Amino acid sequence: MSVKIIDIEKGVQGYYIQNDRFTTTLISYNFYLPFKNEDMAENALLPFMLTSCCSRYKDYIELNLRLLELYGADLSAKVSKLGDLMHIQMSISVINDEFSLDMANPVRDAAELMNDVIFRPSVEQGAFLESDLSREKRKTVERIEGEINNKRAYASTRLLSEMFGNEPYGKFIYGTVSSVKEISGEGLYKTWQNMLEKAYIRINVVGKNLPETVFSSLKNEDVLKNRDWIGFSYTTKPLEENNRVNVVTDRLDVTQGKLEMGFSSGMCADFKTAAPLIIFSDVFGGGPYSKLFSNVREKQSLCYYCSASARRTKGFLTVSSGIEEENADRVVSAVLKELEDMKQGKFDDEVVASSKRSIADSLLGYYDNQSALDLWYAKQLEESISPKEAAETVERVSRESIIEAAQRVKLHTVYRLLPSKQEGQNE
Amino acid sequence: MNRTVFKNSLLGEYTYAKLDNGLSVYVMEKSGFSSSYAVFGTRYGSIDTRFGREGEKEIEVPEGIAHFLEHKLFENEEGDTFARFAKTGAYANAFTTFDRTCYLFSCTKNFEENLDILLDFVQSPYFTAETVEKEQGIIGQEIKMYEDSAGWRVFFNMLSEMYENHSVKIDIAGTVESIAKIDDKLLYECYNTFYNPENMYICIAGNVSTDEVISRIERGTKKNKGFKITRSDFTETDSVKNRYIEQSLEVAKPIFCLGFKENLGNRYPTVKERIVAGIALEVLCGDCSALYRRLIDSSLISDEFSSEYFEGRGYSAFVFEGETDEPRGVAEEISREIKYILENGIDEKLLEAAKKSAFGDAVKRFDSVEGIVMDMIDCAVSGGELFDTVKQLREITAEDITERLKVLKDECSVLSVVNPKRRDL
Repeated sequence: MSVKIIDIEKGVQGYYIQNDRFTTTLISYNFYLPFKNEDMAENALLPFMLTSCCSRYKDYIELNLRLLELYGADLSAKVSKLGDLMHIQMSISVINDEFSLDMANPVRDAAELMNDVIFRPSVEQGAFLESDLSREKRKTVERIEGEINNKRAYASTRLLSEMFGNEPYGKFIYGTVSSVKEISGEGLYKTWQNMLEKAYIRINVVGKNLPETVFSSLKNEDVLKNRDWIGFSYTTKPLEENNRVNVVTDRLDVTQGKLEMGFSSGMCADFKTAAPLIIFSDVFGGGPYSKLFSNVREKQSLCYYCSASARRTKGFLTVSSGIEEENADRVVSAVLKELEDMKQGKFDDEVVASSKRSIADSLLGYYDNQSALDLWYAKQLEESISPKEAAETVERVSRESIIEAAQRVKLHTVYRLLPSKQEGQNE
Repeated sequence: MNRTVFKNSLLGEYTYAKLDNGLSVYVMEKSGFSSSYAVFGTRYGSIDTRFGREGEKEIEVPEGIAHFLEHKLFENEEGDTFARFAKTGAYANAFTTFDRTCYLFSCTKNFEENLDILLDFVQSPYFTAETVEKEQGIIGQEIKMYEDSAGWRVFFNMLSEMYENHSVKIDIAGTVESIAKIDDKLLYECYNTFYNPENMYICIAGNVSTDEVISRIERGTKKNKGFKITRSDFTETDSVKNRYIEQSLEVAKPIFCLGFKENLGNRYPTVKERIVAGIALEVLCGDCSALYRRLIDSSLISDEFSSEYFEGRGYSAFVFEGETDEPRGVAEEISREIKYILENGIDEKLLEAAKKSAFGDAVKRFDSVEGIVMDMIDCAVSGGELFDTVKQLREITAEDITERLKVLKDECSVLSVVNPKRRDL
């Protein structure tokens, strides 16, 4: 596998991730913009609009039919947080030409379709059409309201909102119901223009061959020629330490409680710098060899699941667990005891070795997974390293640096989602 | 041992071997891949609650025992299996469904060592009263988690009203009460019946050598115990118990699941029946269909709308799921569209596109060693071979689809709804 980086326009780069083993080719357009409360809802709605209203097709049904004819090409939209940036992704995955039954060029066709989706939506007089807009707004409102349906995801969203307060990072990425309802066709048109002119743009192609025109055709898009691009500076403010831990409890009519703990980890960093934190987090609460799994879940049977995950891009770490209400305090103490042991270096070298092997193995497995490769290269805006280099970095992490990473980790917020009280019970 | 090599000019080849001890082995070499994926599975799942050995009396076991056994098999006399895989760096896991229990690992290094661990732990049961009791607590928590899952509840509520006798209606993990009845003796009984090589399969795809893998498996698996399993037949009629069921949970808006029961008798659907069902659903309600447009444009459904052909031994149903303020309105639209297609025929352009899409999906499965192995398991459990979809698609006609849509009759349908709890705020 090889990666070739091509400069296309100011702030527009192509990443050709050549890989022979797939039957399909994946093309993803990635846009990165500063994450702000004011335009979060518009930016989040935009990719869903673009992937459902292309001017080359009469309506979204015709567009879907075209995708079906392209051997079920998969066109998708996604928004996520990447530190203090918003990452907007639209991608298409299609079978390689050699599998086509009718001597067609599905890869070339999919690449062209993707260009039309990004650059030629159905618009009139500087506005998206009301029919498309109202449909996509309704879907987004339902996405926001439906967040509560998945209790584990809901608990983790609530934890972030308590940890980050009014910072954009703490917000649900689709915005609020009222901010979505306020979006106008004109406003969204400006959001689209803004994205094309100001975002850092990275186009990933993962596949056997580079479709001839995929990067060169972008030279013909006028909007990219006149970009308002002032260079890219990527800084994210890490979560600050909290000297008085917040404890927040919500009650819902659920059978099982959820306990989420948020910790500050002291810094935002690229993969290489954050490697000790990544190993720490895995030894603490990652694989089945971890302290949380083997002690809190298995030995003490305090919860069905209990796992930790580190966000190096925003300087924090979370522990998630499913609990019985009467165990809530015991789980908090048990997790903190395991953390304290880590800080004091009370962990086995064998567990560290297991963790390194497991992380390296899963990194090397990325080479067999198109979406994983795409995301790996889409999520590294600093110096890009390959999964193989990352695996080698992991091998070199020392015991001392893991202890140092542990010592920077401080409890910030505890969020509990507990069953509603029956009448007569006291809080 | 019998060995057969299946070839496809586009997608490569794989080997199927039936070993002398009765074990089925599927291997596909993917030399360009970094990783390998392996599953050791048994044709035993949550629906197998009544069974026996040929010539002996049938027994009935507590609901959820197949899943319980899966959890317990990870603990051997020498200790925890995860700890053994941790030494090699492999990812290990297991899952239980209605008709199968599978143990798996994936790795980029030390494949042979990992395969030996897999063979060893699946064939070394170790259950004691103490370890069973501890597991009852952990699985009890897992069951509670599913009680809060609206998507899970709405589906199982539908099954409970669709089936009179078939065990597919019971929860895969059982209930807190049913698993309380499980003890070490019962676990051994189930293990000794279903974990016999004759009833098992190993599926592998990745950077491996077929010959080496097969001889390693031959050396590492036990002898056939030489008995036939008898499984209870579930007699089911075409009709359903009730056509509507509802429950309230903490959700934002009503979630629905509409199922049309199909009665194919006590067997698995054939490969062709499965392909036709998939295409029929695409034509009926896929995101290019007239029905989809009506449901979206009238704000009846959201992004969450989906359909599936749900099937296994002795059960099959066409299922539609989503969120809506008007579950009955959506159900009516779906039945109206079925009648419309049956009267007016199928949109040929849509049918051709749906077939191309199904072909593309079948090709994409070969992008992932996990996808290949999951398809091999389907072959091992319900019959057919890996390249069937690619081969049989061309033959599917509009008549096949309309014939199949006739199964979707209102009187054989169940609408299950999970409503939001009323909250006084």
